[in-house]
Amino acid sequence: MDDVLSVFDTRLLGPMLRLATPILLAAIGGLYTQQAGVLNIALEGMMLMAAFWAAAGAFFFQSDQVAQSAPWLVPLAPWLGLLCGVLASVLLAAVFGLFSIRLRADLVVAGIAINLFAAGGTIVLMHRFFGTKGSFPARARLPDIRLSFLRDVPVLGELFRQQNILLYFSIVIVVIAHVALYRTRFGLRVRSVGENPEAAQTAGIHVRRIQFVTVLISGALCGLAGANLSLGYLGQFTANMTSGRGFIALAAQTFGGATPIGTALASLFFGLADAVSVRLQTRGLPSQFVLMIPYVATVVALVLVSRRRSRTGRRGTSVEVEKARATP
Amino acid sequence: MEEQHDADAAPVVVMHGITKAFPGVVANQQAQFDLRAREVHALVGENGAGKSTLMKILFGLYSPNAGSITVNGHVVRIDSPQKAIGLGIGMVHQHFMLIPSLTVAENISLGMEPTRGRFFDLNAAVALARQLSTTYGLRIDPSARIRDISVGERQRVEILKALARGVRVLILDEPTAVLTPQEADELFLVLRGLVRQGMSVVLITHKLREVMNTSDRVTVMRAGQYVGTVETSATSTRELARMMVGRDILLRVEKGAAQTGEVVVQVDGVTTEDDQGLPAVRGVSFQVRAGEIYGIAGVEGNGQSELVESLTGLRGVSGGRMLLNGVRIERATTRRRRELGMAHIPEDRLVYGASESSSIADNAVIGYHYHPPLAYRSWLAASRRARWALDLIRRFDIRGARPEAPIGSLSGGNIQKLILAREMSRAPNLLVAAQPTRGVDIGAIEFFHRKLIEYRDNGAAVLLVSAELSEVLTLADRIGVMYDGRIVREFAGDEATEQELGLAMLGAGDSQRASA
Amino acid sequence: MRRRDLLAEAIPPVLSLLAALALSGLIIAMLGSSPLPVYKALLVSPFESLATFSEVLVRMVPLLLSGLAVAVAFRCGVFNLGVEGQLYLGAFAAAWVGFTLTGPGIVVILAALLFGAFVGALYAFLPGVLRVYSGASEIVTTIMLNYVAINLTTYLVTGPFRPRNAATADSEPIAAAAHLARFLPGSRAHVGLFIALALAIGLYVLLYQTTIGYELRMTGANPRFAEYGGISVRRTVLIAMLLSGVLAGLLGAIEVLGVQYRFRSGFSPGYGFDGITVALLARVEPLAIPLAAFLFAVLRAGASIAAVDTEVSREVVDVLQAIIILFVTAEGLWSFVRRRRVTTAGQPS
Repeated sequence: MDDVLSVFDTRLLGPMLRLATPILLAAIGGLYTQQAGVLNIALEGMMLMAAFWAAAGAFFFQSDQVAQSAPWLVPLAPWLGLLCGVLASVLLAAVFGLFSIRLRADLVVAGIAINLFAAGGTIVLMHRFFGTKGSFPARARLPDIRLSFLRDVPVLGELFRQQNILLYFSIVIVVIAHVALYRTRFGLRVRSVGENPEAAQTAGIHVRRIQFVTVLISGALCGLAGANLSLGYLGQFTANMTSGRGFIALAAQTFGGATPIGTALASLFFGLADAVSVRLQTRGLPSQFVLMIPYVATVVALVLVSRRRSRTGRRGTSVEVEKARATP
Repeated sequence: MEEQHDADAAPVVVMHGITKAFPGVVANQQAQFDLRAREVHALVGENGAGKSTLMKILFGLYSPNAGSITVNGHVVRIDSPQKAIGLGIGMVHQHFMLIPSLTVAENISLGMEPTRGRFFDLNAAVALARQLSTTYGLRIDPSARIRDISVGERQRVEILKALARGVRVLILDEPTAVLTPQEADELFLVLRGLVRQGMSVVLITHKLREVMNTSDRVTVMRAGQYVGTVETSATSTRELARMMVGRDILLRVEKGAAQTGEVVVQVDGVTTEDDQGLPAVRGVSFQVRAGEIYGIAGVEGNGQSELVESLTGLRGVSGGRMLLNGVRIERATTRRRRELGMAHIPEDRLVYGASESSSIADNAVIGYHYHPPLAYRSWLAASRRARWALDLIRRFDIRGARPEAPIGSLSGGNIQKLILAREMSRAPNLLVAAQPTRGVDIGAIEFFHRKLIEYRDNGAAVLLVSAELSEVLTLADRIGVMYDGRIVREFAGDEATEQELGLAMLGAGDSQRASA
Repeated sequence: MRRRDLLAEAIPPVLSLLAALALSGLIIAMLGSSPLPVYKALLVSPFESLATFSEVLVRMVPLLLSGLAVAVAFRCGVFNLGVEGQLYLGAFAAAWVGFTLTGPGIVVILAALLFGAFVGALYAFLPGVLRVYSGASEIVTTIMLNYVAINLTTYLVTGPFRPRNAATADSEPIAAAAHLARFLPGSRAHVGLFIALALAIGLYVLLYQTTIGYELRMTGANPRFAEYGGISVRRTVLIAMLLSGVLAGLLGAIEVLGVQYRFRSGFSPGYGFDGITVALLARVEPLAIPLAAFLFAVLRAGASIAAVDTEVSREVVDVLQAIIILFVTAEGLWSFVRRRRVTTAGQPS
């Protein structure tokens, strides 16, 4: 038992941030759609598709053709890959938005469809372009930011000594998300649309348009999250590499009460769970048990949060089907 | 009636030949309407007459299938509320279109929010709200959150929302449904003030008394069609009712004296919270005996809905006792209450009383579906359900209903008939009827009232909760007035007058607590 | 249902299928391959020989059961996205009975099926309880539990239950007597198909002719109405999840007893999610699910053939099914199909 407890030390902080990043990015996207009244199950699929295209894009921009015709592009390859990933994810988000908002498909089913599309589609593409169904290297990574002067500082050092640039992006994004939601006109409209779409509509707000925009936002953020996965540390794309992170992001957003700061904190928690699980694997515990940890943690967190939320008053029907529908 | 108004003869709005069909229903058929400047124009009709639909078309919420709209002399196509507002037409809906977690100022500015760059300028919004409040005489607190203010205040915010957008035509859909008589009077003063400032007001209502007191002209609709327009000073409630229904109708039902027996339901000091967790029922006590109709009168929103929900098992009780035939039921399930003989005609028929997407047969059997004669040892054959439904259809004369058809194919009134038939079909000890004739045609209301009295005469206890004072006065043997979560006064049926009831509903008058 | 309504109900799935085939063909063309051989492989090749057709019958069984599992939960208004995890646990449970219990074949088979169903039911009951008593969304919890179950069973089969000379992540083979009989000589088609068909009929009877089926349907249609009428929504939801889990567990058990004859780690190519497509294609009607499962099995079998005959990998069917699902569930596309009789007066005023 001591052995297990010794797993918890400050050296977990760095991996915690690193592993929390993709969850955080996707969760912020999820919270925007949630605030607009759209439950976004498709985070997983968008992230996966983005991860593929980010890696494929980076790969392409280092290929011989590009090296010969436009050599100045080659050092930019990871960034161009990032762009590809984001574009792919936004495109997929647009499809999700089209079907669920405009064509009134069931939100959960449409989300599942997007996830299936991404899961199958990435393998078909990988097979077609890279001849494999397992993984392919991107041959490039997004840069890390090293703050070596922090090396000996106790906590901050562990946190920020070396992190990928996307982590800093996500910190900025959390701040922007908060300000945008609570201080801008757009954020006010998003919140009204989510709380009472009919009222928003009669006030002259284009409900569907706002919902669609939030879906696109979630697409862009999932694009960053996916790029983070494939280009952030590993520098490769592996089949199904998202492994449920999109759903964990959904749980993080619920845990965080659909607020940017709460969601950020919740994502840290899940990042920690992930980091612990990685640690434990090196200590000789059977890998499968350790792999389960983030998922079990998610279930436990969700139960605790939902308990706190259930209100008195209406009885028995706490089984309202969660069809967070878009409007009239 | 008001002094002679100086209405301009030239119409501000003309609607002509308006037809609008929804799946399964033609809501407006060649309807017409014209509105002059500086007038209060009432639009009346039974439920289902098409008056709300017609105004929603004017406000751009629906598009007509045919017909034309002319505003200030120009033919226009109003395809969105924004367009309507741009033309100077605003609407205050029956169900308020407000965002509960936002403040009054934010709600008023929604859709036209003042900004500083990208950011929302809260101070400007508050200033705007204050200024409007003073100009039009509608008192509000700009920084209060909608969920914390009263119903009357919320309505004022709704009106200010429309006025903030510079409308010249204001449509109000059943505005007094949720107001006390005093608040209603205040509202009409405000409306008169608006008319003096050059605006026009359309009042959608079914309260003929109000129409006579406050409007300049009245347009009557029936079954989606235009019946006629008259000067208010030249007509009467009787004539309006006739135009609405097409025949002379009796507004009172014959009723013999009550033969009361044992106490069937006893409520002692019950307290309950609403959905927001705020106290809604603050210590209510009353009892109903077999063979009598106890009517709870009161303006909607004083805790009646929560009281009924807690009595029927759809809401938890936070304190007090409830007994049905001597058995404590505060924690009992709905099934247990039904087994003890309770039946419930809910006020929200499409939320609780029926399942819109299910068949008529499926809707007809609920509550009886787990024991004989419908079910034997957990077998509930489809044929048995159909036969049961047919029986109800026949007994209550629900025209055109087939058991396999979805219940959504029936009109609102017929759905209510089915619910009534279902709830009454097993001779309950206690029938809880909440707003039973809401949305039912005047012709059918008579039928409903007679059925309720028949039930009383057969020895059942009937708890009637209704916002229609006339209905309570007609049916109830004893009346309890509910105000602010309590029963503030009880009357015997024949000693109650509308004035005294009205006062009690306001919380004024002789407030003796009802004896337990 | 009257014939005209039946026809109207069938239009969305059929059109969605056609649209999906067309779009997939477009995607395949954009990837540089010709769609025609793929279409042939998907739609025609499965019928070309008894061998290929019998493969369809083999694949149909898990798809049918998964569709039923998803459907029974869906009718009650809950999403059981955990069929994948439940079927893994059910499969392992059945395999364990199969290689542990000795006795006459029929006894072992029954015991394996029952135990598999039981374990599946428990694993579906868990997220049901979490949903009913804490409000935790079953959408997220069931998916999380899938990962847990898959990892757990892999651990079991490579750890405590690892056979002596194991080269792969398989369990010991089950007793020969516990194999489900095959009914088409020379093929893998087994009697599990008839069990599955019987279950489809059973679900139909349950839903439309019993009290609990009625309560399930009403809870799914309008939970407040159900509560009002005396139905315990909580109890009904739990029962729905239990039934769903039973079907998922049986799925795993039948695959083990009829096809794999052992527990093989990762044997399911996503049956849990395929069930969603099958259920949607069948408009969540039990009697239509066998047909939808058959159609989907044709596509899956065809995809294997396509993987061999063309350069398109079999995962193209996942893309296909995603498009099908999107189209079928898009109400906005089909509203013109629903015709209602027009009556006067009544409704919104």
